[in-house]
Amino acid sequence: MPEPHDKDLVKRCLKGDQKAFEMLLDRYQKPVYNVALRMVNNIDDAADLTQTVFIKAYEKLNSYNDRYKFYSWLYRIAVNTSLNFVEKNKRQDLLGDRDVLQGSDVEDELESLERVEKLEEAILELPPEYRIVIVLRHFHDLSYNEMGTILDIPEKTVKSRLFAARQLLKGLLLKSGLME
Amino acid sequence: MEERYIELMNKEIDGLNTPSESRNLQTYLNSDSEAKKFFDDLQRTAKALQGVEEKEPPSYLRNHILNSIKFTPTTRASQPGWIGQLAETFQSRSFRRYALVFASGLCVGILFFVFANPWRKELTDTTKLSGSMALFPDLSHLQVVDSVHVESEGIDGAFKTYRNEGRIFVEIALQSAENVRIELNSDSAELVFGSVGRLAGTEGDVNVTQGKIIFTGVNSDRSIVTFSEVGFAQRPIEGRIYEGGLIVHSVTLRIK
Repeated sequence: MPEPHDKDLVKRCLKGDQKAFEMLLDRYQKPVYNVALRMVNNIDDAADLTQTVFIKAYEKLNSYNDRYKFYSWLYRIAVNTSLNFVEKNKRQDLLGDRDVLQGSDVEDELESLERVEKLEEAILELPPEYRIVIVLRHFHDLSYNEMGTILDIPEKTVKSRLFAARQLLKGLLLKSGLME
Repeated sequence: MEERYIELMNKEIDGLNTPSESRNLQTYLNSDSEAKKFFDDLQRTAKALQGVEEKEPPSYLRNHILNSIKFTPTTRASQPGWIGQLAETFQSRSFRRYALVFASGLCVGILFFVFANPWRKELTDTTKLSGSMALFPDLSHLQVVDSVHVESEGIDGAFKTYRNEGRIFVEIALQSAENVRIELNSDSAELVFGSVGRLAGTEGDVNVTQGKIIFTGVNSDRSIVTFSEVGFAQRPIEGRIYEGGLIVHSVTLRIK
């Protein structure tokens, strides 16, 4: 049986169908959480933001215009909520404890974790408006057009920000020694 | 490096170049070792990002979200209220016809007022920016890091730099008898261009490209350029004023 389309699930949600909302939640909880996590770099804050996003989405479901893709609309809520949080708090916390590893691959795994940590720190050093385009393009594989819709900016601005963000990130990675 | 090649490089990374554009880029990279290195570094940056995996949300989150929402039907009842009736009116074909006629007339009126109105004053040409246009920020509460006054025949002005919470501001105030060109050159690895705020009535164009902000066609300029620091920026910003294609002033602006 084919999966129901987002728009059909939204219609069912509006009629009070909780199962339909749960399906949307299961579909988009992880990507929304990862948008928030990449922006705030704190597991608890990202979880709180994800909760806020879905509550807002449910409350505003009546205003969703089905001319647009549901996930673009949801991502926009997620991006705005995350950016507002970053603006208010302007803090960067390290991620929580990593899992303890066993076996002969420990050293390789630790090196890999260190590289990922440096990369995540570099991403966090980007100004929020550059960080979000990196997150949406590289971690969520969104097109320039989709990013423009979500961020409510022209595609031309998406491109110039993304290009500038990549160059900036390149500089940060070179400085951190992650790239030589 | 030309901006169009930077765009081609980024599109290549995103897999958006046509075969012809890819060949064009490759020819350029083969002829310029510095550009090739630049592109290789960009590719490595993009590749590094591929190594980051999506993280699973905490296991409690799903139930947490569902428990915090009160699920109630929100669709309209079979008999619409006054809002529903208003909505139905707006959706009617005859209303839309009248609305279209009214909107068309309004558009014609506005276009006449803007373009053909003989009483309108000359409008100042708006600037073209590849960054973002911002309000003219208030820097009066910030300490000046550096201040350079420039003066010569027909030119009088000043450059000032300020620093605050990871942002560098460059204030330009200039009067000149002839149109001049003002360039600001920054190290794009240390400073990221943010915005240009211009005082109302300031004329001329602004273009932003790789670490370079260029004001052209100005004889009276009051602008503030905002940059964001990457880490701890140290290299000064170079400013130049050109008149008739020749450098008439060259300034070095400290940022710390």
